[in-house]
Amino acid sequence: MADESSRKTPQLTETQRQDVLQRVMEHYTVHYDVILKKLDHAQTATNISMEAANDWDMKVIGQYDSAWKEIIQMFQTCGITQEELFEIEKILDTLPESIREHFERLIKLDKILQTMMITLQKLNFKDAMKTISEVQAGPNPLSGLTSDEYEEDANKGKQPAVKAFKISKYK
Amino acid sequence: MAFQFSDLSILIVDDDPSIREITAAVLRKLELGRIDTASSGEEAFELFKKHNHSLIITDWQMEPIDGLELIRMIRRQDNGSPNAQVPVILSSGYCSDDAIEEIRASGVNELLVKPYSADDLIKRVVYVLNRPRKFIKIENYFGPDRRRRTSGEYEGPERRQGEESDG
Repeated sequence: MADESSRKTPQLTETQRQDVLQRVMEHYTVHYDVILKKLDHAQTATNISMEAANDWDMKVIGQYDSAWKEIIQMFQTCGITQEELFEIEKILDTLPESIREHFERLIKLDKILQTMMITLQKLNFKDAMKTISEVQAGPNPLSGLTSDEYEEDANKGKQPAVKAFKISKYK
Repeated sequence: MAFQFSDLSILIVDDDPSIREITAAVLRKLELGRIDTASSGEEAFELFKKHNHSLIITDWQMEPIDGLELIRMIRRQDNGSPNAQVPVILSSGYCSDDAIEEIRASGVNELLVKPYSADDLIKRVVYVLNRPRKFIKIENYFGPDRRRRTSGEYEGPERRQGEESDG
């Protein structure tokens, strides 16, 4: 077994490594559930706003309605990365006024979601991710491949799920 | 990324229950067909013999059988291992030159350096499953071909001695 002094991350003890890993992974699982719940509320809010919409509003709102269906379907059948969760969150943060009003009301009423969001904040994700980014910054010591090369290869021939929804169209 | 994981099974091996469970929780979000967890190399090998998983993710530091010893057991073909070529990802914070040599010689497919994010884990799983590596058998080694990058320009003779391809 390698000695302590020759580790790639000499500034981290085994306990610190486990703690950072645990917090970031837990953030992913809670964030995943938060986004799924928010999508459910966004879908309900979209349906409510459709009832009072005029023809022009219907065009815009209809796009959101299709987007929620596609994204929720993706959660049920595919792998969603942390990066994609943040991309979906951006869509949820820039909803048109007619949907947002109902969406925010539904969010406030959902006590379980509120608790989950508090849990997310307590995980100190940004600090933990900064440490991970430093550790993962260089090439993998076994393969020589960088994070980008792993990602490029994993995406070869695949449809990047969230990008497929042309997010900018909904902003 | 959009991938279908429903036909796959993964075995997670770690003696730290919190890491084992959070890793399983992350991978459950991928809608995998089956996820098993084991707290030791012995338990992992028994589960592997029973379920012949599509992929194994193991920690290095465990007792009495550590992650590298588990990989050696899996790669042997005379002890009931149901698939000596199953892809294995090793997670470790130990990355000295000596450690890397030891890891490389064990027949591991990929190394995930600790600490890593959920995305690092997910992307590595997808990479390993998308890119099955050719297996080779030489005098003291049976495992995935360790040569990753090929320029395609080399036209000389094969210099590795005694190679048998199992890929």
